[in-house]
Amino acid sequence: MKFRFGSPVLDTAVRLLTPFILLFAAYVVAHGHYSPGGGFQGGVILAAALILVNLVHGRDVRWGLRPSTSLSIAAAGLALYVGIGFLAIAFGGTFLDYGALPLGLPPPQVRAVGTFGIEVGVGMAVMGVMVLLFDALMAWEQSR
Amino acid sequence: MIAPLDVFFLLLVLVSGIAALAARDLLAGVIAFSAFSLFAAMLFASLGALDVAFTEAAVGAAITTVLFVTVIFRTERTAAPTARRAGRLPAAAAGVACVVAGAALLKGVTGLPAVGDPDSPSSRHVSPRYIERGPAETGAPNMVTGVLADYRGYDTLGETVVIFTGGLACLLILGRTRPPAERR
Repeated sequence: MKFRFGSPVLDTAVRLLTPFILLFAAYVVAHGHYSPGGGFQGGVILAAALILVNLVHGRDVRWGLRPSTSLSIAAAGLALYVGIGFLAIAFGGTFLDYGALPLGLPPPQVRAVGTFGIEVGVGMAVMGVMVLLFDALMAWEQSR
Repeated sequence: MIAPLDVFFLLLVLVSGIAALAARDLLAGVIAFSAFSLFAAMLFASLGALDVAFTEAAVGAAITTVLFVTVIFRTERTAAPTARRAGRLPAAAAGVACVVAGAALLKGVTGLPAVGDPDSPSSRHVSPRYIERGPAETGAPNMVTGVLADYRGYDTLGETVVIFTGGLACLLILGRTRPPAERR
């Protein structure tokens, strides 16, 4: 079974929807401080947008990430999370104590910046892993 | 305190769950399971747990469904017929076990505090501190984010590592092996 459901209707719908899904994903990651959402949900929505484009346009479109790329993004997200944790140690705090980061802001805002950093890390990790799972299943089909 | 809306969503969750289990056509089962997730998300939202509802809708109703459908296209669409039916005695024993376990669970549920009870043990431990000082300490008005990413940042790091490890394991299993049909 070929994994390509191309048709003019689907193509137009995807072209219209994808920018808004991507924007919404970025909003969910960035606005997790103020409203429901955060890195995990935003990462899943971002992965859903990429998988949607992949489903409709198939593998030939340059939109799709290569499995090695999505794995690198996932690893980079995890490294960002752990890196912020160790950065706090380097500036005299405990592991993941964002308040120790020297940003020259009031303490709650410093913590908010640190939280945003790890939310971005979680979002990258989740997005990379979800796209990776989909790619692994696709590749499995191709080796058949 | 269960509002009528919660009962409505609970019934929908129950019906879609049974439909997902009973479907012989796996694609129909996956769609019913997706509906199950969607109604569960609505139930969570009506209980006030918006972050959980958001996650359930995005992961359970969307991504999981896509992955399940991908697997179905890769394998079989209909469930394999059951090899043999269980005998009368094991079936009766299983039925008795279900009734006893269900009765024990129902008995246990009556001992739980009401939803949102301010005097319940879980509401008296660290929750007051999170509610009173969380936004001021973490700079995050959404207290769920403050707890998940700041107070409990270590737990969230563990979850992220689990997701990453799970992805790596799937890549190891799916990436290099041939499908069973080719090995035969």
